[in-house]
Amino acid sequence: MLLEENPSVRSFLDSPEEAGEDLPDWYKNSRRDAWMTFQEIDWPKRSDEAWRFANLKKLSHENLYDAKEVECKDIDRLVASSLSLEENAGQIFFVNDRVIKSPSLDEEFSKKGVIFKPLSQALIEHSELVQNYFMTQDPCLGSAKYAALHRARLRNGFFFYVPDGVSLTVPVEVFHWVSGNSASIFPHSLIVAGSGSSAMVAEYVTSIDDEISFCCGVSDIHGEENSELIYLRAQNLSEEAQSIHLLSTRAGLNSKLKTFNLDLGCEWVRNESVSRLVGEGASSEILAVSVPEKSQEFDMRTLQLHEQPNTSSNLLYKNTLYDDSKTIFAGMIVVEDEAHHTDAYQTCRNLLMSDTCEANSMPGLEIKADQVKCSHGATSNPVSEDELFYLQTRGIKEPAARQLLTFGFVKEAVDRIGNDSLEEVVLGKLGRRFNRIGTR
Amino acid sequence: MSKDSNSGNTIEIDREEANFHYDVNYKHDAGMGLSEDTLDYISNVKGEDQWIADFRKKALSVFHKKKMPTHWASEDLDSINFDEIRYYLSAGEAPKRSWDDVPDEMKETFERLGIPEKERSFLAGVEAQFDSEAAYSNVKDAVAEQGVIFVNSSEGLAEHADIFRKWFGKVIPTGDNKFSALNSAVFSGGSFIYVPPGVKVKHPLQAYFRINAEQFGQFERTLIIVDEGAELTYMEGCTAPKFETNTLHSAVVELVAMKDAKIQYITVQNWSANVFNLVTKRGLAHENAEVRWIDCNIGSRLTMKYPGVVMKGAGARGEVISIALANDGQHQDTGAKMIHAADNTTSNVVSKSISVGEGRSTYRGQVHIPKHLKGCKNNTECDALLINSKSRTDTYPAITVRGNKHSTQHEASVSQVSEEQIFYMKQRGLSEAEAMSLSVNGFVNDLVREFPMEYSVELKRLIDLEMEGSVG
Amino acid sequence: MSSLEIKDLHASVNGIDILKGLTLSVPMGEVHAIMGPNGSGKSTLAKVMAGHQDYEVESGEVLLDGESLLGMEVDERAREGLFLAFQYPAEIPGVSNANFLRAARQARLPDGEEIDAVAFYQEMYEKMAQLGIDKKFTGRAVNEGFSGGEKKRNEVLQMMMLEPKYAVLDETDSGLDIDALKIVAQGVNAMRSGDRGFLVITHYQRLLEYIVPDHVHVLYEGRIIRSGPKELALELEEKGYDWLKEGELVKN
Repeated sequence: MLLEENPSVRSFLDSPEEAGEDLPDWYKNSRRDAWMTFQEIDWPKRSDEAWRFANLKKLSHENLYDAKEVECKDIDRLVASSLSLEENAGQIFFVNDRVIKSPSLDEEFSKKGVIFKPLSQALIEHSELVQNYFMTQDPCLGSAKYAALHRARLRNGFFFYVPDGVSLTVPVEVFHWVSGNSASIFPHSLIVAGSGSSAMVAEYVTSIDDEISFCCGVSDIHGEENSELIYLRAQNLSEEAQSIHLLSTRAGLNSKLKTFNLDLGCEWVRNESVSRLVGEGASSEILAVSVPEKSQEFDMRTLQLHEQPNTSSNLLYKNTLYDDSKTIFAGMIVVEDEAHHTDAYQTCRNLLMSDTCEANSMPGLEIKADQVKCSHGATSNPVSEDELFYLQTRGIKEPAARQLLTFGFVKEAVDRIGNDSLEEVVLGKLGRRFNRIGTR
Repeated sequence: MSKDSNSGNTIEIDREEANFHYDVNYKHDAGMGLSEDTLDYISNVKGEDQWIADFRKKALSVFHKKKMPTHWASEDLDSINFDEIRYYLSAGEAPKRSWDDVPDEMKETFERLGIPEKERSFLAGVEAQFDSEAAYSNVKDAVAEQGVIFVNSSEGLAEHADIFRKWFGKVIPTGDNKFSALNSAVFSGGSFIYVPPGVKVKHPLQAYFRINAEQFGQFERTLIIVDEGAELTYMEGCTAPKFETNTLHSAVVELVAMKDAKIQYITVQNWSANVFNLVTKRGLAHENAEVRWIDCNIGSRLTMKYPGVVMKGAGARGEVISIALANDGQHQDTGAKMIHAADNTTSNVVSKSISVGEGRSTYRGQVHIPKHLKGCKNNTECDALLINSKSRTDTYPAITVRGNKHSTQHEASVSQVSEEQIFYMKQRGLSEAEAMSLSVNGFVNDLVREFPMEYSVELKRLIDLEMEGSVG
Repeated sequence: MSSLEIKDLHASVNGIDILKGLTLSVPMGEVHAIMGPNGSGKSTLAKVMAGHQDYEVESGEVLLDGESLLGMEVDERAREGLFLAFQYPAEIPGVSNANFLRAARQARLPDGEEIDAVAFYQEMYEKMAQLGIDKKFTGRAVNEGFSGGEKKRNEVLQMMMLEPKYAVLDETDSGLDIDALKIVAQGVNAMRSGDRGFLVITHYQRLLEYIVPDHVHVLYEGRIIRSGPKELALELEEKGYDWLKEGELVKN
């Protein structure tokens, strides 16, 4: 065991800990407000449109506690055991929302004014800057209660700010580990790319043990004028864990934002992704791959919101379902009145690998503008017999052929990341997962 | 819902106001509002058996219990005032209206659309010049020879209960939704048809032949049973606008296709722009049977219609082909519901919608393929064409597939007629309106071809007419 | 004598001036070629003549048989007798070639008169045969899925069916192999007559070996800087466009 436990527990339905003394007033107020809001909003119901098809019985909130602080005996071993990038511009490590090990950031970049710090630190040292961007996005896909929960209980996270004109050619990495039974973490990721800047962020959420845990995270990404950003998140919590993650991107004038989400762990996941195109010429790519097995249930709700003309968005979600797993995909493209000359695409493809898996797709469009090109498509199919046959005629045995095809299926989405080292990490994690699944 | 006077909507007949009134003395009038007394009145006038009267009463209580589905459907529904509707009106005999009473613009529209003489009278509500009874009896006799039963709902339930009762209310149960419950309480009119085994009815049976005193059936109830190996095509509606003082049209259509049977149900809906058109339509397809809905929605203020097929027997097929055109002040909310309940069943949905001016069109679909079935396939294609910047289109399909023995595909796209295309066509001498028409007709072309010839020609012309006013 | 006349035409697109005082006259019965380097305004000229809305005419005139085209809508100009063979013809899904041509022909008939379907199809098949276009193309949607060469041939078919007074061919040769080029040229040449004028816009001299022009004009930076007989095209081929960049004025 790498870790030792400390006492002092708080159920997350109890009012949260007070924020640290030294944190700015605006933040403390926001936290208190959030707790009130949390209590006012009703829990989601299956009959809510935004929760259609979801199995809410799996989501129980009894016996979940704010994660305790744990002592990390062998940090380096922990770090070494996780698949990560060969080269990075900086790293921050969290265990149960507490920073372990000193965060690092290449001097080259810190000299240029890049900020890559734990949120607790950034709130003090860059209060105004953080305040401009902190939780400014509306949680409109159904998890308002969880967004409030997050804002009320969050303990830490990170703030990554790239000043105007600065480019980081190598990604920064953030690790979140969770340990302990019934532990809840509320990781917060706030990423801002200044005008003309470019950067990449990789974030990993993993369980140390096989215990029940709950992760309620928020990642907000802001791309100012002409910025470029790639954000990667890989979740591999334990099979007993549950996760709700709210991702938002706001793409300013001529910016290019890209997000990639990989879900492997948890018994129940809900991901909400909102991408707002707020500046003319902005473009946003939203990618995700998930490989649910056993009785995992992955619920994905997305929104591509075009507010300005000449914007484009492209969503590609690929799911490979095994055993009794279940996926729900509800994607909406909204093109507002003013957003003429929008190009928006949305594709969800499900590969069904067993007799008993279930894929639900609800691709949606709401178009109010003119001169738009929009399309969405959803398919759910088993492995193609023709393709299998073709591989077999080249001497490949059926189970291996099946694996090859399945891997090829998800690789299409991974290839769109557009950065070799990030792609390698994802492929590595997928490779491990497919190996474990074997030739089912 | 004001008309934009600049749109030059050529169907200048005041579709919204229906500002002509018929001076008719109705022999039977249940009065305004809905209560058990209304139901009693209806049952008495029709001389119904007790079981039907009970069926109506039960439906009424279900209707009252159910909420309006405004949490997902248009909030415009809330403007329906159930207390201000007459649920049963009949003249007793053929109504006496004369062709002279018909407004000139209306006559002109019929002319431009090329509507045949005899249909014009029907649409204008003129009885005297249209010998509907005679026409109807001819058709009835012709198919009676083959053993086909073609009557209205009251006659069907009274004279042929042995055939119809077992399926009545089974394909669409009373409680399916608020409006099927309403229909189950106050239904009258509609067609009850039975086709015996092996009989392939050559010519389509048409709703308008089935005129009787209950004109403009607001709460039509149709039940069509096609027995093993038999085939039938049924058509209702027409391309010319139907002028309607009633504001609520809530019909129920149940189709039953027995083993190896084929039913094709074609609807062209062009109600005037003050009508709420809320219809529940479903077909039950047994082994190797096929149910095909061909639906065109052009009129009404709000149409909500999601034709469905339950594929109950192995190898069954369901298909919905739908064209919707939404102009200023209109909302066409249509879609399809495909429920796979047996192996190797196939469903296909092709939906094309056109939004013009401030029109709004919505597609809602549901495809359900449960576990333990194998070999099921679904293909859905829904395309929307936007003509002006104020139009709106929405697509909300939901597809659930369980298991790895099926394949489903859903594709949707939204586009508009491109400026480059219009320029190209204009350079060949076509006016802007002609170019638009060609494009729009091109967009729906392969679907229009599914309609019988007489309809497809009129449909194309109607689309042209609708486009004329909206260009610029 | 009827003619197509362009007088001191100034036109811009997106605020950028492209045509800066273009003057040209194409008498009926003649074939004039316009050559020029990329960016000189060749396509702009074609689009402006046809009336494309993206282009603004600042000043100048375009007269067809003395009538000003500039005040007319795109389709009106077409019905007056102007035909533009596009460099990149649009695709029109769902509308068949046959129906499209019929509609275009119908548009030129007075109200109430209908096309004689039998005669129309006969004529169309004949002309398709001349151009080597397979009959099955009648049912296919206009230009949808057509190769570059097929599209250009389709443009010439339309021109043959619509019998314009003046045809502007906008880089008709681009994307064509030598065989397709010959067929297209054949079609154009078959339409040469005393009642028709052609303005052939091209970058390369090659096309002009098959469609031999009466006059060649050189367009440079939005103006005609040199005109001459067909030999001028050969000179340009040899010496390139730089040779003319010395602000030489148009003769005649």
